[in-house]
Amino acid sequence: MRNLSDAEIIDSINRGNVSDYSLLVSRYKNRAFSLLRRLLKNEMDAEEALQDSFLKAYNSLKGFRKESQFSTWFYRIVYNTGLSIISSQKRKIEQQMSSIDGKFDLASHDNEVYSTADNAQQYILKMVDKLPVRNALVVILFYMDGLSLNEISQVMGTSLVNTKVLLHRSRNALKDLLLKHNYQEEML
Amino acid sequence: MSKLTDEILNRYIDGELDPSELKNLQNELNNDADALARLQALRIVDLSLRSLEVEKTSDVFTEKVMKVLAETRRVAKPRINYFFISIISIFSIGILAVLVAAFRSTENGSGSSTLTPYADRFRELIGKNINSLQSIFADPNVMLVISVFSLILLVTVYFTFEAHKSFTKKLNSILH
Repeated sequence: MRNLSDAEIIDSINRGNVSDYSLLVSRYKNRAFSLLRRLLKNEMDAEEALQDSFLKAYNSLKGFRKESQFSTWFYRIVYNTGLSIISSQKRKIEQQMSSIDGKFDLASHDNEVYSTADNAQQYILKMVDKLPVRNALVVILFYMDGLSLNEISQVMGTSLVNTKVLLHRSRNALKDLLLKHNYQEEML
Repeated sequence: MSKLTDEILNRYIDGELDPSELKNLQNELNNDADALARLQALRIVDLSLRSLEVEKTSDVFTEKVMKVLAETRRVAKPRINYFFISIISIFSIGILAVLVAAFRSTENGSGSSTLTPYADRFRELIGKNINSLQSIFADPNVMLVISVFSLILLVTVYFTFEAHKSFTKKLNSILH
């Protein structure tokens, strides 16, 4: 059986085939979970937020305009659900999110991560978790979900320029750490 | 200082440089060991990030969501009060039947219908009382009292309905 597109599945659900929603849940659950796990830093909270996001998406499905991709629309719901959980937990959202202009320092985590990483790739992947949340989210949406910078800016409600800045800053920070440990020479 | 900024190198990684910028980059890299090292490091970062693994949620997650969804839909489904509907229907049918019977009896006129004596008695009863009713309602004080009572009744019904609505809403928010 051929894979149905997101739009075809949504049409089917809107025609009354509610069980087809499980196809969308199965398709997006792991990627959205990865995003929420990094945003909330807790698996249980992430799963709860994910369930909430899918229910919200289902309830708003009739209002979904097919001008944009379902993935972009859904990730926006996921992102906002994650943010509202952070704010309801009264964490300092500003600290968690860091401003676009705000510089960040990964050096404080460097020793801990460097001592446990076997190679450059492992080191970088572990360091992604130490990036400020917004930077980490841009990296995940760009590399893991394959979203374009334009789509990411729609998900996060940031301008295209700021989204690009977040991606470049994240890569530059990781690049500087690689250079510090001379990993680039090891890889040659 | 190197002409090749991190910005240019990032744009190269993303394939955003035009042919003339690409040529310039190649020329600069031949004479700039620092920029070359930075580019190599950026390439490693880019390649490594491409191998970011998707984390898996629990195996039963989809079933769990579908179950919650089914429950939500069941609760959200408007409940039909069949008792209320049947009472209203019986009354409506009764009133309709009386009207039809009265209409037929006046149409026949001859009194052939078995319902005619009842219709006549009903008319007689109304006729007797209609004058006294008219005199009561002609009094402006009575009309004022009735109006005030009607207003109080309407306001009470409205607030009772609103209170019931907000209570149901609160109950639903607690349950979900």
